[in-house]
Parts: sequence; C-alpha cells; structure tokens
Amino acid sequence: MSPERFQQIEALYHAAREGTSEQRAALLARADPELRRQVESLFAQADSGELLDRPAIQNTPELLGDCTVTELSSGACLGPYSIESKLGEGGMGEVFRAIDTRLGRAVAIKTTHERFAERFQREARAISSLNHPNVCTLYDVGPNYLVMELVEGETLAARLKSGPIPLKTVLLYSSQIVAALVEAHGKSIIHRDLKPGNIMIGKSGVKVLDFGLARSGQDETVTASRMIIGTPGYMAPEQREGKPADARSDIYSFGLVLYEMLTGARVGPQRKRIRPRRLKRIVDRCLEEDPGRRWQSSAELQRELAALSLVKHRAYIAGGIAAILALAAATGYFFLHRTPGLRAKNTIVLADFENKTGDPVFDQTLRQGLAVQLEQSPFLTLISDQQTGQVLRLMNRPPETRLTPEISREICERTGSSAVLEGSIVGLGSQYILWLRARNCRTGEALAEEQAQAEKKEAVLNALSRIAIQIRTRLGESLATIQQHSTPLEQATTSSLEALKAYSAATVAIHTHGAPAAIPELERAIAIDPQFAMAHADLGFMAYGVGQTDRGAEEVRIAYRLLDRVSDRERRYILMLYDRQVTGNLEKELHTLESWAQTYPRDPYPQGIIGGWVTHGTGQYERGIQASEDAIRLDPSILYGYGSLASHNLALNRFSEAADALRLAAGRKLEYSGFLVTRYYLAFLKGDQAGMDREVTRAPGEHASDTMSHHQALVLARSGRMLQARTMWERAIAAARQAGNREAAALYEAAAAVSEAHFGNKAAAKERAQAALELAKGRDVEYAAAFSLALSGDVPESERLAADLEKRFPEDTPVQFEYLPTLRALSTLAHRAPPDAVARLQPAVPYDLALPGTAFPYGMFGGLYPAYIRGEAYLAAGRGQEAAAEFQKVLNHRGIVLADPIGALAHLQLGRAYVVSGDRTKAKSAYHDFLTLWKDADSDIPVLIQAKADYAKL
Amino acid sequence: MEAASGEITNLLKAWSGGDPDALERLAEQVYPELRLMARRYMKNERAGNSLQATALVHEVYLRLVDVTKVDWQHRAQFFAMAAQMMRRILVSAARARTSQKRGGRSPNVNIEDTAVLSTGPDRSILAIDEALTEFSQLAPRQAKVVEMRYFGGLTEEEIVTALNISPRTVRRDWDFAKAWLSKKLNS
Repeated sequence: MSPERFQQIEALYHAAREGTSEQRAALLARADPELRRQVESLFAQADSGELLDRPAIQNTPELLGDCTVTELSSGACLGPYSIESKLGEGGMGEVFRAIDTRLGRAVAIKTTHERFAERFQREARAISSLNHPNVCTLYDVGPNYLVMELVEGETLAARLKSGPIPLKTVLLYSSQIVAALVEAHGKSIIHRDLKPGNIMIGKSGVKVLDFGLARSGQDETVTASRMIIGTPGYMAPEQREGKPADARSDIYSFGLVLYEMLTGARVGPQRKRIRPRRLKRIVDRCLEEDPGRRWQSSAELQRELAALSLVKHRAYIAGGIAAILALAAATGYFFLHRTPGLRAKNTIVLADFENKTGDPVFDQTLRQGLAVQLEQSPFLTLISDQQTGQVLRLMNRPPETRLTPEISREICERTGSSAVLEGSIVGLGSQYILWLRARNCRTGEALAEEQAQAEKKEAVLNALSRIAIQIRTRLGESLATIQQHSTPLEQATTSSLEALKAYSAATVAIHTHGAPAAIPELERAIAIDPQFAMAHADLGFMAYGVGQTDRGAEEVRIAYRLLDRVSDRERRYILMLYDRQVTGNLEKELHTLESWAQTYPRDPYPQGIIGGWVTHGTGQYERGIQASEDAIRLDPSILYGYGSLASHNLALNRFSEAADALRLAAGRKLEYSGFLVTRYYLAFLKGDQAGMDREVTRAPGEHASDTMSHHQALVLARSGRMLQARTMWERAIAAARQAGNREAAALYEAAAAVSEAHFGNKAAAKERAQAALELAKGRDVEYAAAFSLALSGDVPESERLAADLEKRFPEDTPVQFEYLPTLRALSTLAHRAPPDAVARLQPAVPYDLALPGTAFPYGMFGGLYPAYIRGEAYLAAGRGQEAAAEFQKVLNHRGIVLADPIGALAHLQLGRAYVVSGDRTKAKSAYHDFLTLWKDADSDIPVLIQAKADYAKL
Repeated sequence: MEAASGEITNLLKAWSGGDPDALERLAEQVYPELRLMARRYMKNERAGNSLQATALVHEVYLRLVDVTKVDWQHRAQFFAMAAQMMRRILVSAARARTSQKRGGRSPNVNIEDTAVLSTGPDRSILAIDEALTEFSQLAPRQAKVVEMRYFGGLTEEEIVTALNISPRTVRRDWDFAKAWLSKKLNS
C-alpha cells in the first residue's frame, strides 16, 4: 500500500466517522469503490475496542506462566511460598517442593502452562473442601499454579513400570482410590483425569491428585472450539467424544487403572484374565462403554470391592468399636481391656543380629545400623526398645533378654506387628557375609531375603546399608497386605503365648457374644498357663456377673495368690476384685478404686467400676452417677457406664434421667441386654404394660426364658397373681438350669420362696427355700432362703443359715449391714421381743437405702427389706407412727423396691400402722390402696384373706 | 538507590538535551528495573488486583528519577521510552514462552501423557506486536500512540506531551489504529 493511499483511507475514515449519517453516506458514495470498501471494512471492526482496550500487561495470560516458570528456582518466592526444589515435570507443567512460610509446612506447587479459567478459581473453593486421607488436599490456587499437599512416595505409574501388583495390595489400593472418589463425588466433584500418574503411593496410603482440575459439577457440552482436558489414554468413551462427563466417567477410568494394576498392562483389544471371578466382574462393569451399564455410583463400587475383601474378621475393621459392642452381650460382666482397634501400620520387630564371626565389635553395631536404615523408610515402623522391654516384662522375662528369632516372633505377635527382621553375619577368611531375612510372624512365611558380601571389616556397614535399603523397599509393599490381618494381643502377664491368645480370644468373644462365650476361652487360657493371674481374675469377674458368686470368689482368690508377678494395673484390678467378690468389703473396694482413679486419671475403668456394684451396694447413688458420667466421658464406648447411670437414677426415682441415659447409649449405637431389664422396670413404674411387653419380646432367645420370666414373675407376684407367677418362675428356673447356671436358678427359687413367705404360704415357701439351697449356697441365695424360712416359721433353720453367713462373710457389706440385721430382727420378732428387733436393725441404718445382692445386678428384689422389717418390729411394739414412717419409706422408694412384693404389701402394712396409731381414715385409705392393687389376686392367698377381713372391720 | 537516582536523573536530562549516548546508558539502567517490576506485577496479578498497569511506569519513574530536578518534558520523554521498553519486555517474554511450547525447553513427555489442547483465535501479544510493527511502516505516529497506550499504559495526556500532539489527534489515531489492527488480526 502506498503512503498516499493510506492517507486517503485515514482521511475518509475520520471524516465519515465525525459527520452525521447523511454526511457519511454522501462521503462514501462519492469515494471510489476500492477506497469505500477499505473504509467500510474498518467501520465493521466495531468491537475492535476489545482487542486493545486492556493494557497489554493485563492481557497476557501466557506471560504469567512464563513469569513464574522462569523465576521459580530454589530460594525463589512465590508469595508466601518459598521454593525449595523442583520435584518433577509433567504434561501440564512443573512441580516444586516449597515451604508455606506462614504455616511452616512443606507443600507441593504445581505450575501450569496455561492460565486457569476464572471459573476454575471459583470452583477451587469446592475442590479445596475435599479433606480425606486418600485425596491430595488442595491448599491454594493462583492464576496458573496450585498449592497442594506434599505427598512423598511414588506414583502408581512409576510403580507399574515394575509390573503388576499383588492382589492383596491391589485391593488395598483400590479401596483407597474408590474412597477418594466417593468423597469427591459426594461433593459433586468429578476427577475427569484419573490415571496412574495421578495416584501417589505414600507413607500412609494412596492419595489421588489433581481432583477436578478440569471442571466440577455439571458441565456444558464441550465443542471443538473450547478446551478438552484429559489424558486420552485414560478417558471414558463419552469424554473422548466431548460429551458430558459424570461420576461414571471416573469409574471407567478407575476400571482402567484397576485392570492395569492387576495385569501390569494397559487395556487392549485382547483382555487378560483376571482372577477371582468376582473381581473380573467388577472390572468389566467399570469398563462398559455405555455409562448406563457401569456401576452407577462410586459408593456402589465401594460396596462391591469391600464385599470382595479377604479380611473376615470384621471386629477389627474401623467401623467403630460401637458397632462391635452393639451385638448383644449376655448378663453383666465388666472388662478391664482396651477395646479392639487398629494398630500402627507396618510395624516390624528387629531381632538381635546373630554374630557368628566371633568378633564382638559386631554385636551391637549391626543391629543399630540396621535400625537407622529401617527408620528412614516411609513404609516401616520399628518396635521401640522401650516397647520391647514392656512386652518382655509381660512375658515374665528380664528386659535384657536376648531377642532371638523365637522371642522376637512372640513379641511380634503380642504387639500385633507384621514381621520380624532377622539378620546374621558370618566370617569367611577375611571376607564377611551378611544376610537379612524378613518373616511374617504369624505364618512364618518368608517375605524378603537379602545377602551381601563385604571384603573387609570396614566395608561391612556399607554392605549392610545396601541390603537394608533393598529389603526395606521390598518389605514396604508386602507389609501393606499383612497388616490388615494382624491384631494386637492383650497386654497381660503370662509366660505363654498360647494362653495369651486364648485370653485375647475371650476379649473378642466378650465384645461379640458376651460372657458365656468368653468363659470357655478363659478356662482354656488357664488350662495352658495355670499361673495366668488375669485370666483367673477375669473369669472370677464374669462368673460373679452371671450369678456364680462362689466360683467368682474362688477364681479371684487364685488371682490374688499370684499378685506378686503382675503389672501395676493388673494388681489394682485383682485387689479390687478381691474386695468386691471375696471379702465383699465394699468400702475397701471403693478405697482401692479411688486410689486407682487418682493414679490413672484418664483411665475410664476405675470410674466405670465405681459406678457399678460398689456404689449401688452402699447406697451412694449420687457418687455412682458422677463416676458413671466420668467413665462415659473418658470412653464413650463403655457399655456399662450407661447402664449404671440409668440404674443410679432409677434408684433415686429420677426416671426420665434414667431413660435418657439409655437413650444416650442407643444414640451411640450401644445396646446391652441389661438395658432391656432397666427399660422393663421403667415401663413398669409408669404402669405401661405395652412397654413392658415390648421389652419382653425384644429379649434375645434364651434370655427371654431366663431372666425376663423371673421379672415377669415378680410383677405378677406383686399383684397377688401367684398362680401365674409360679408358672413364670418355673420357666425361669428351668431355663437357668438348662444353661447350667445353678446359681441363677437358685436365686429365682429363692425369690419365689420370699414371695410365698410374704404372702403366708408357709409350706410353699419352705419348699422353695430348700430347693434353692440345694441348687446353690451363694451369699444372696442363702440370705433369701433364710428370710423365707424365718417368715414361714422355721426359725431355727433360719438362724442356722444366718450363722453360716456370718462365718463365711465376716467382712461382706450386704451381709453385715443388711442381711444379718434383717435375719436377726426376724428371729427376735419370732421370739416375741419387738424392741430388741428394732435394735438389731440399728447397724442397717447407714445402708438403709442400699441395694442388696439380691437386687443388683440382676435379681431385682429384696430392696429396703431392713426398713420393712423395722416397720414390722415397730408395729409389733405398738409404735404405729414409727411403723408408718418405715412403710412410707418403702412406698416412696419405688425405684429401689421395683416389683418386689413388699411394694404392694407396704400399703397393707401402712394401713395396719395407721390402725395402731389411731388414724382410721388414713388406715382405710391404705387398705383400699392395697386391695385395689390386688384386685386380680388369687383369692386363696392368706395375707389377702386377712386383709379383707381387717378392712371390713374398719 | 539515591546515587542511582541521581545518575538516572542526569542521564535523562542529558538525553532530553539531545545527547544520544545518554539514552543508551539510561536505557541500561531503566530496563532491568522496569522488567523486574513488570514481572512482580504479573506474578501478583490475581482477580481483583488493584494495581493498574498504567501505574507501573509511573512507579518506576518515581523510583528511578528525582522528580524535583526534572520538568514535565523530561517526564514525558521518560514515559515514551518506558512504553517502548515495556513493549520489548512483554514481547520478549511472550516469545520465550512460545519457543518453550514448541519444544525448546519443554520436557520429554510421552505423547499419551500430554494434555490435548486446542486454542481459540490468535490474539496473543506477538501477533499484535507483529501487526503493530507493520502498521508503523505506514503510520509511525499512530503506531507510537498504540505503543504508548497499549504497551506502556500511558494516559492520553501523557501521550499528548510525549509526542507533542493534540488530544484530538491522539484520540483519532487511537481509533483508527484499533480498527486497522483489528482488521489485520481478524483476517
């Protein structure tokens, strides 16, 4: 173009623009066609402003990339991030290691060639909300760089270069990758570029990188003129065609990754075989061309993979301790142990080096050198010397015991570690041969082996380092598959590993099936190691809890004799049990427990036990509530904490708080058969028959026949329906005998005896009492039998039994402060000396409101008997008002008396008391209350007949 | 900085006074400063960044020159020079980037790992620069206006002073140049 032409164009352009539209039209018309065309084409650039209106420096997306890339080198700063080193290069850009100087943490910075869309930066907020152990967290976003979690390890792509991955590892990695997908898809973030290059294998598992670097959520149709992002090799078919991608596209990509992990090869026209068949099915369905035929959600895929998992022992998978405890346990027991949980990953035990060179210089140095090398591995953790020492102590061995392969293997099993690493060094002339071997300590299977030669002594450590590095890499992978299966054994003092295993099995059984399943395991542990103190102690505890008080006492006595060889905590436990079950001295027990709680303030166990029998049996309900709350706070999975919280509140008549405690447990997915009984009585106290029936139907299997029948019998007896009550008791007794639980059967007989005695059925009462004593002679059975006999006129026998109780249980709290005073008072009454009877009951006064052994933990009868009998004594002495006060006490404490017959009889007795004190109106009212309660009673019950007659006279 | 500022001020005055050598030495001092500031600006640039590109040249000016010793004409000349420098800085940066993309510095990657990209119409700085160079053959003054405004981020007033033309001319030149360059780039 000539300059003149140019000037013409310019002149016409300006003239036309600055004139009116008519002038413009005229000017253009006058111009020659070529000129006109030129100028009009310039006018057509109406939107040209867009091009140059923003200053160049703001309009240069590509420059920003350039800027950071050329500047980023070690020591450079990118805002608050200080660049340390370059980690690598990828298709999208480079990755640097940097330090976030504000937080002092290491991060990874990934730069990209292109500037991110504005939209991505907005969406980055959603992506950074992904916080999951298997997702590489996004911390920060810049115009063309990302700041992410630094993952140290290797990519799956790099790993796959060495070939396919073992099945167990594949399943492990798969579950983690899918977990990441589930997390992201749950937040509407699609990965879109899932591939081995985006999956890192790190110390603590697999991490998926670059989530949503494309777009997130619903996307618009991608057309050729917009960007398509994704690596063609791993894209789902619909993505390759530019169609909208969704969660199922990620699932397709995952299928490709899974295939490659299993076979070591990319998916091709010929697919390689995959075993097992279920896994093949999963892979095939991931790789369906049609998204509608694939797994429809990552959650579904996750379930399928989980079902395939080889781990059967679900008790130890993280799904929560609560889930384990939710399985019904049988009658009460309380356990000292840690609840099962997951162990530190990939721990190994390092045995002592076997030094066959004869040169002492190698004795310690080799093991230390090896330890140093192993500790540098991101995949392994070594059991510390301190831990080793503790375990040796539990094995009854001195701390300096040499760690032979056998001992190391036992340590490995006891700590739930995965493998033992053994090594040896031997001299051959002037050369040395080093040898390392790793074994799975459960199966004995060799996992890795390395050998090296050193030409001279000075070269040995180098050679050791070399093979240590080799073996630690090889171990890292194989351990990942083992550790899923290894669970720690209980920490208990016994010299026998086999016994410890049985003991641990008992712990598992407790959590899954309750005491009846655990007792045989404990017996087995004791059979293997008769000196296993804790096994005896726990057996005693559990036996006591199912009503076998004598056996309970016996086992604890044995444990007590072994007291000198146990750990501190075990010692406290045994001492407490001794007080609890052998001497029965509850005050001492409380003292032991409080000292324990003080020494181990974060230990929930002593608090839990304080909330248990000891506070019930001494009537310290407020203290019990506090301790139960502390126990729950320290360990919310403690089942019995909630039960105790409920029963203490029940005893204080705080029924809604009791119900709340159980609801709290239910909310935490904790359930236990004892809760059923508490709920049953809460319904009873509300007069809610439907609620009571509901709990009865809920009782699992054999339990319904056993305990629940007994409670139903009590309720029936209380309203005078003895025929029905007897049937129920028969059922309970038969079931208990069938289950081999003689002591429970005896207690049920005794309860029946007491009821018959109260109601004046003397012959029946005596018969029942005898039957009870024939079954068992435990403390509570003996007392109840003696009580029935005294009321039924067989005073000498009652006195004999009382003397026996005194002899057998000189320190026992319920015996000394409730049973004996009551029995002696009855005896005195029989000998017609009422004032003495009252005096006899004096020792009971401080424990008036305590629960006797017949009431707790599972008999639920006999509460407030001392008060009741005191009332009778006052009545017999003609002191109506004092008598009325005692009976009123019985009526007031409904939460302690529950369904014991005296709850009904107290009305009658109150009536009698008012008669003696001269208050006829109140007397009538009291009689009326009783007769109303007994409106459906069997008509032949002596006490009823008498009551009706007396009422008529009023 | 004090000493440098004094030196730069003197150089500026010398150049204004007609000393061609002074321009070269001045450029030597100013260019690196300007480039550093430009890069820093671009690194910190995020959505909502308040720093205006136009302020960049001003900032450099204030930093390097002792304003008490120069007058508005010196300033105008400095800005004109700075605008030219900015063009060079931005263009050379873009060029370095492009050559990188073509494999000059790019890493060895497997073709299957490379991201698949397709871009829109070429509106890059390099294209503008090329078109502008061509345009300046025909219309040197108008091209200068674009250089100052687009690359230097100068205001109309500053361009008026630097080129010693009227505001109306500046506006007309800008309109025309935009239309012309748009047409060129869209063809």
